[in-house]
Amino acid sequence: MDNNSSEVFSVSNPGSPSKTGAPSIVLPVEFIHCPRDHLVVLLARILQSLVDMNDSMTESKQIHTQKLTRFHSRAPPNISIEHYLGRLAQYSYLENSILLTAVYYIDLLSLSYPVFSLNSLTVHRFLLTATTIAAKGLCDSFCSNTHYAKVGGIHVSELNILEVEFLNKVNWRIVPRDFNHETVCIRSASPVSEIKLSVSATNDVLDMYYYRTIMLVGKIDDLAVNYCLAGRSLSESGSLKRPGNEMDWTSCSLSSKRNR
Amino acid sequence: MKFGKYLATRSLELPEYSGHFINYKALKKLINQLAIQDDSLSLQDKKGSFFFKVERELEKVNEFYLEKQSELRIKLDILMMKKNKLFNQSSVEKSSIDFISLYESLKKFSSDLDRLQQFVELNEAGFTKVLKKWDKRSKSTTKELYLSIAVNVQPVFHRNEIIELSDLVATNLLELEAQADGDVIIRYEKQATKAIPSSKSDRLFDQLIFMIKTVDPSVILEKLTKLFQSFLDENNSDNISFKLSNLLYLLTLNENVSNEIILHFINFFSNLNFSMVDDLTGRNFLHQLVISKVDRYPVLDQIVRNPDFDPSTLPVIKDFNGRTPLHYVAEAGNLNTLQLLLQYTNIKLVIDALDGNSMCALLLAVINRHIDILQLLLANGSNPFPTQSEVQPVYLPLNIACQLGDEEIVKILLSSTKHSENQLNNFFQCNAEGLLPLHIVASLGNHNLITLLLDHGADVNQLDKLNKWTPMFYAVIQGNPQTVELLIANGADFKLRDDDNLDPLYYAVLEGNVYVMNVLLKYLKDEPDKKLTPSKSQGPEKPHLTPSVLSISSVPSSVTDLIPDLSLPPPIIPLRKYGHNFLEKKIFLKFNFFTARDSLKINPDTFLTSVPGRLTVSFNKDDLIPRNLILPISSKENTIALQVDSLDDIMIDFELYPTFGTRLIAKSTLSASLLLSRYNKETDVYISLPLFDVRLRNIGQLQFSYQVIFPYSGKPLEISIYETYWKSTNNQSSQQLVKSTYFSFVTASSLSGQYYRVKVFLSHDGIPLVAPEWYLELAPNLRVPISNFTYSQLKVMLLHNHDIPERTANVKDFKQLEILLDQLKCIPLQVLLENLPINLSIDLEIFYPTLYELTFADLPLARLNVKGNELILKTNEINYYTDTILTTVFDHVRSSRQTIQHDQKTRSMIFSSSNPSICTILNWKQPNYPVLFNMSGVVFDDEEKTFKYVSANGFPILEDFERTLTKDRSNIKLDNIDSINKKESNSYTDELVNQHCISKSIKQAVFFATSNNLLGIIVSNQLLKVCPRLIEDIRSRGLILVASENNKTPYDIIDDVNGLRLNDILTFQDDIDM
Repeated sequence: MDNNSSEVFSVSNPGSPSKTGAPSIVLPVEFIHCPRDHLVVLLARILQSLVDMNDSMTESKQIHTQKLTRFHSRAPPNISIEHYLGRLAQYSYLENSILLTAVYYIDLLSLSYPVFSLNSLTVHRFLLTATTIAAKGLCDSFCSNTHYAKVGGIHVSELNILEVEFLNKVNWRIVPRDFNHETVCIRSASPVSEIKLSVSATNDVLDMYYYRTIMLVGKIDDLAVNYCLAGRSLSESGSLKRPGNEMDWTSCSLSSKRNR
Repeated sequence: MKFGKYLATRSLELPEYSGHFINYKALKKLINQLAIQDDSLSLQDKKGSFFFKVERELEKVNEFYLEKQSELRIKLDILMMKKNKLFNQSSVEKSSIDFISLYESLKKFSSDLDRLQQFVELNEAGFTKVLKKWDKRSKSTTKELYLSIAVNVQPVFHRNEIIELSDLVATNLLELEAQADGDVIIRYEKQATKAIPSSKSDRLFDQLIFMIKTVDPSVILEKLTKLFQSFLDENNSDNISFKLSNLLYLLTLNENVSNEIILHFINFFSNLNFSMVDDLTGRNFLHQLVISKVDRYPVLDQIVRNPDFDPSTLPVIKDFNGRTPLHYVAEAGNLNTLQLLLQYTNIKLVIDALDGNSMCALLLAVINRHIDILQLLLANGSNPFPTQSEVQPVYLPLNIACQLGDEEIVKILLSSTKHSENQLNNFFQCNAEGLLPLHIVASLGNHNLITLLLDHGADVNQLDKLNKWTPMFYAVIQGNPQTVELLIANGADFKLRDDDNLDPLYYAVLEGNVYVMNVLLKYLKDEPDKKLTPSKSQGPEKPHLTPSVLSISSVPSSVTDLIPDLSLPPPIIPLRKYGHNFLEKKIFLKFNFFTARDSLKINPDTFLTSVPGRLTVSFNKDDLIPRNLILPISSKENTIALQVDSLDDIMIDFELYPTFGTRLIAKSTLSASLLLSRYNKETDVYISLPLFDVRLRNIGQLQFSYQVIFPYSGKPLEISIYETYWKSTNNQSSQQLVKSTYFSFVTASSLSGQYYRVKVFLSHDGIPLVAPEWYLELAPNLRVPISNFTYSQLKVMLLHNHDIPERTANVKDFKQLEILLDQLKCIPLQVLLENLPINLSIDLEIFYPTLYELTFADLPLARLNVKGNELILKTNEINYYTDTILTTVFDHVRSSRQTIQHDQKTRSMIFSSSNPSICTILNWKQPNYPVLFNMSGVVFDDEEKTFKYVSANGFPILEDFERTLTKDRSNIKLDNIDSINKKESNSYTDELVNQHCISKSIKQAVFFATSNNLLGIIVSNQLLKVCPRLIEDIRSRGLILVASENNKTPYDIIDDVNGLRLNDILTFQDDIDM
């Protein structure tokens, strides 16, 4: 893994020619080394697909009052997820780990707060809150809420309320750990999830999300850029193995989300 | 107030520092320039050029500070040496020359130090403000960092040195005073043996004074001659002339010494040195003679004729205050002396010389209203119209005369230049604050001066440089209808709009100046569109705003590291705020101090070792943090509010400190017993405490008022989240840059539907009653307050029917309720609440007379008579009053919670009151129900079609009372000589006036409601109709706005308000879109 410096991957990888001829970018194995711009694109893709899916499930446009959360906007914001995430990453100086944690929070929050679902009305406020909390929870230096609110385009008083709401809902378990999925449910009455991952370090959890993301959306036919992990083609990545880590992909929550 | 103008005004007061202040204007200009040129420079370059300039300014200020500070240091060292020398003598006489001059010098030093402190403070404020401005325009956040790493590390902002000096001089002054008063200071108990005998001249002086006091005046001259002779016999050394001069110097100051004696002294001793100048105070004989409180004209006359007198230098020498004798004469108003001095031609050269406070002799004559002196000075060529300049501002005598409102002086000044026409264009100039004479006159309501100024060519529609207002705006805000009439009669434009696009009428309504409002409305009706067509006034208000907006928005486009604007659509669930803060168990205590320095009444003639800069309020409880108030107190920060567990053993210390330094100036204590004993009798207590200095001498008083609110004494109503009220605010933060479009409206509240307003009050023996009106009309124009009767009396008179509960229960709607109340005149609150169908919501308007009504109203309002009630004894009446009503309400809600079905709600209720004190108390005692303030001090008279004042509960206001409010403008102190803003328009005088202002002025009412956390205010619909712009302004402060209309006839509905109260029915607009 030491030979994987980021500049190697910025050029297209001759080893895995894509079908459409679009440039294919090989990403480093560890998420820490992944260029942020690429990560933003990747995460935006997975968020978009989730949003699309959830939007199609509630086609009737009727939102029950009970299903409203504080994350709901009155109308879908006219900034795309990718731009919004890029904006947050750029102006709030978000690190890779924070971006990935935000995705991890989707699972965490949906588990403990079943009313919440990621759709075009909620995704922006969710992302802003999630990145704010992740930055505070994981990073040594972070910005003020006023700053985050300004970048996110809401008033700081609203961000404060969202932050408290979020923290209460996830029972303050904001550092990514696999056993969080059980503890967050202690407060809420929802049934304890059966998800059991064998990894426990934050780094490993995030790495796992990183691999999964690349696997799921790294290669989408109609998009110009394909991503794949270093050292293996996308087709192989399903059998990805890292020393000491037994990855059970089928039980990974990202895909389980998709199945719902 | 604009800081640039403020700085200019202040630098006028500190002339020795002017030119060394931060060049605020230039820096501001630079920011604006940099903001305009957009693409040519990158942010880095702009930043570079701005901070280069800031650093030069820092250097400049710093350099001058260091120079000044070392100067002061040396001065103090010299003074200390002198002091030590003095203390080494056996005894220090309070009357000896050494002592007096040393004491004076220390005082002078202390005031010098104070000026240096002001210099430091002003510069610090300047740097902070300019950096803030830079941050705002460039959208960066360099201020905090730069302040801490570059600005505050400069020696000028290190307060240590100043604090040290300040403490040192205070100590020295105290020691000196103590020593003089004969207090023993152990530190100076020296080796005793070497007591230097007091000098001969001092002894002579003592004998002399002793003789003057004891000997019969008719023979005193004889005896004196003997004394002088014996003195001469004893001393024939060389320096006798010096000693004698010193003696004479001392004699002139002593009030007991008559002129005759001094003359005798001068005649007896021939070899006196009249050119002697005191080395510390810098004064010569002329100074001494004119300063003396006794008229020393004969002595002066004698000295002047003396061949030893040197006319070329003495009259022009400046003392340590920078004053020539002329200044003192002009101040004291001594005509003879002035004539005598003016015969020397060289004094005419310094006739306009400025002293240490930037004042010339002419100005001093104007301020002290010495008309004869003024005329004499003018005749001798003093210039009444100095030219104002940006760099070095000066005082303008005409503007100050206008501020004093002295017609005669203004006349003299204006007519003085008739012979020199070329000065005409200098007639009307802006003072340092940017105001012209006409603006000053209008802002102070001296309407007699207006025609005078206009006759001499003042422009009635000229804009000033402070607010870009015409005199009209100032007249409207001040509220003198005559001034307004006069201005309009002379062609003032009363439809002109200012930079905020507001016209005079808006300000009249906002301030609640009813008479002005009527005048304006009259003229607006008379000529509806005449003024509109010239469009000179209407056109230019918009372009003012747009360029500044454009220049701002052009900045970020060129800059990459700035955040572009974005705002998400608002959330679906509005941000609700449930209930409000209230007192659970603690007692709420609030101190209201007067604005500016009016809370401090220092005895005249008291010299304070340093100028009081802050007032510290500390408590004997550990959990209460001491509070600081910076003097002068601004109207926004004049209150200290705290919550305490009990008042039983509380002690509150008030301590005065200088701005810098840790030396206590004075102290006072408010004990619990005093606090409560006053409070039992009155609702709002005004108190003055004696102030003691460090040596326990009384030096004055500290005046303030306080308010105590006790928690609800009964069992508080349980809070359930579904039943307390909520309001939600919605932030429209789309355009954060343009201030005028940034609102946070109350978009919704839990209040919806209709509420019926009933008046609630207590009977004479304390039973809560409900009535359509608070009085009974026994015969036409014979009204008796119902609250004057006891419950048993009312039972006989009105409540004898047994079917009242039944009839109340049969009420189906508001119409029937109205009929029922009209028939019954009065029902006990308990009966009404228990029997009225629960779906009818009520607005309980608590009636309680205001202080004005208790003091002035014609009706005899009997106070409560509840004998032996513990609560009323422990607290006071108004507290008991609200508690009793709350108890009845809470009991009702509790019992109805038990009986009603699960999905039903309890009755909706709101509280309202026209009495501000009741509103505050109600709001603090419970979180369950919202409180609205009923602003009822201005009503529309349907017959006369004019607005008029009434008291909060509808009594007429005596005209005399209104007049007393606008008075007390006459005395001008040195520190507000050139500024109208230092006297705040809404200065706090006492609770009576304060209550009156709250119920008449929308500005005050809004401030009151927001600062006391009320839900909203009820304002007369007519007022809002006159000025619809107010609706936006009130709601943008986060208040619910209800318009009230009392007409039976059709009315105009105003949009945008949250609710409308027509007669007794309050309807809330439903605008919750879920």
